Amino acid sequence: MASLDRYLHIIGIELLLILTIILPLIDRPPAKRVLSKLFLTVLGFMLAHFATHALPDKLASFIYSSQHAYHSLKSQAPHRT
Amino acid sequence: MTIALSTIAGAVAACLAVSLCSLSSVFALWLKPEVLHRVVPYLVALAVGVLLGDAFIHLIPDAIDRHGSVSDVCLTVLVGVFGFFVLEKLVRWRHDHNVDTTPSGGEIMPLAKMNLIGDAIHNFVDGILIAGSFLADPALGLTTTLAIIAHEIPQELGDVGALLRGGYSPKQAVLYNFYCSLTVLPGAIFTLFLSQLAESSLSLLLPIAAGGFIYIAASDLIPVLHEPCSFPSLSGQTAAFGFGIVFMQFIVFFEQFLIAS
Repeated sequence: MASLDRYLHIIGIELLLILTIILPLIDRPPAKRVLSKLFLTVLGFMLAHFATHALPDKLASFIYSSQHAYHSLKSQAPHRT
Repeated sequence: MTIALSTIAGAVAACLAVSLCSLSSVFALWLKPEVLHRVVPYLVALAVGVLLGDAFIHLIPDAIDRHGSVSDVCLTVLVGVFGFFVLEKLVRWRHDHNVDTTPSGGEIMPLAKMNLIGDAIHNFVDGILIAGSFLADPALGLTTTLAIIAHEIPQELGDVGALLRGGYSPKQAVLYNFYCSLTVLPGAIFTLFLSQLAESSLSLLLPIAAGGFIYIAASDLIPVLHEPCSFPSLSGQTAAFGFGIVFMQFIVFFEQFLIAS
């Protein structure tokens, strides 16, 4: 089962794709303005989430998985680096 | 009953994927008007095949599986046909009173509006199916979403063809078709919060949607196909009609394969 974070990423990407496609099709300026703001809000949320959660998580998991000494549970198998 | 947030998020993500697929018809905007004019009758023929295939191969057998009684399901299909007939009469009556005009002043044929209503009900039912399967198991939710996306793409192409034939501009056809596809979200939310009611409503909604599709295909779209009477239109439209039916049968096999695996 995918995590909540993964589903939220998918929802964000789908919303961005939908808005990218329908924005050029809408002629009424007020509706266009609202949808543009929605697009920027979703994009902002996704970038903020990427900068504050996803990127630090990736860096941390890279650092901690790269050094055997950082592993809290030592495996019995021979360690190869 | 408490529902996990990830189940709600998964169902919403699946619904948005289905809505995104309805925008696959956006290619119609890049075609030149004369090319589009030539392609529309074939898209309408495809719509007829897909709508009838969806009704007879997919929706009615599914309703019989859920309900158990063939005669009850057939009666509900007839109620659906009758309901859509009354709805079309109302649309035509309103149309005749000159209330119904497009922003550009062009006339919109009732078949386009009927198609939008039928598509909205169908997408609402899809939303119920998606959320119901996510509630049962996320893996089942994923396979149901894949099956719905597979039958949604050709159907949306055909629907846009029918909307273009009904008098909408390409931009309007794509946009209105997309708005109708958004009814998948209320269907899913309705199921997530009232799952038992939604489950029992399926045995009613599936045959009504099937009745709507049969009515639209047989009474609105097939007469349109008889207008150009030439050999290329005969062979091309027959092929598109047959392709729609074969494609829906293929989707049923695909669904069975997904469920079995």
